[in-house]
Amino acid sequence: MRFKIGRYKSLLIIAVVSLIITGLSFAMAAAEEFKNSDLAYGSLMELVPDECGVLDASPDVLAGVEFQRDKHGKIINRTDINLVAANIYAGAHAEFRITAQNISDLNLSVDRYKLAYEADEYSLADLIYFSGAVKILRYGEQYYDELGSFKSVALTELDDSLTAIFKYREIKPGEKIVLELNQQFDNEQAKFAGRTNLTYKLMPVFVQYFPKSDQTTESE
Amino acid sequence: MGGLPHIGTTLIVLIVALGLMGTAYASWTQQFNIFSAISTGELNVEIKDAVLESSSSHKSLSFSARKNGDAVDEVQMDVVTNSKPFSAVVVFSVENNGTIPVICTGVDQTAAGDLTVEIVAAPPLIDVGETEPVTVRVAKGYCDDFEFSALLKFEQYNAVN
Repeated sequence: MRFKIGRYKSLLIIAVVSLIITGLSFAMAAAEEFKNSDLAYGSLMELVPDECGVLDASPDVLAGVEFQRDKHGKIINRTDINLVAANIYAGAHAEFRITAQNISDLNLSVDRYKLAYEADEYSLADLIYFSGAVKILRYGEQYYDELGSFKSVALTELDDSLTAIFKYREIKPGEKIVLELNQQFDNEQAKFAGRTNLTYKLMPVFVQYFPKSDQTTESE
Repeated sequence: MGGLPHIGTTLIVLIVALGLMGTAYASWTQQFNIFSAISTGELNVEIKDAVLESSSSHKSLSFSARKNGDAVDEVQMDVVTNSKPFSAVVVFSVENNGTIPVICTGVDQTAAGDLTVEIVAAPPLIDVGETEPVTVRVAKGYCDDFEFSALLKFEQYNAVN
């Protein structure tokens, strides 16, 4: 069967091929250009390592924050952070500060927090409570706005509490959000018998900010 | 006019493609990962030495501390008493090899009756890597072929409570 291509069909094919070639060449150029830049992995929100750390900890508790680093000690991943608290005991606490900045040109927001953890017979999951506050550092204005706070929240409710504070809050380009998270452990020593550890993962999901229909965004 | 549908098709395809690009862009999300690892400490104490400091009111007494490697495994004290109550004071050298400070909270003994095994002196806490003396007094009235065993108890030092 002979296949005859009409004049306009050939135009369409040419246009599609051109778009594909344009896209490929852009992607290749972008990959080269962004190889060493902060946007290498497409991050538009990044943690600020210098402003993440331990605010306070009970005596004898070993607390710290860790980032993924290469063999030279340079941080290679600014979207993951590890909060470590060792040697904890009944009544102890460890408080952390986590700062992230909007490095994009978009207005962002937190859609929700997700939580993942495993609770077995050795877990400390039901012996830990969280308190803290969420603040936003306005770009160029050098002051903090407190978006909300929470107190004595159980692990199972942490994601909902943080989501309620963050939801529909606008994070403008350049602004920093600060989460001060205090991990407080139960006071009763007897409850810790046989309990050894806990690991959990908290995942804020950032999306582009769209004002609600009954809201107007502030103009610069 | 037969060519018009082809131009329209082209336009529709381009418009839909642009629309899909915009939709994908608007649907962008990014997720952070905040990992948290929490652990209690490790409690590990070893008796490095046991010394008989003093004893009284006995006909004969033999004292030995059996070691397993670097640590004392068992302390054996054989006593033949006379008519008066017997007592002995033993000093244990306790080393903290764990990751947390510990305190000595007492003695667990297996025998009842008028046997007394008590902590006479103990440090307020034994820090990690440190070795401290714990002094124990054993007292018993007249007895014959009396055997007992005792265990020193240690707990994590709680700086808060």
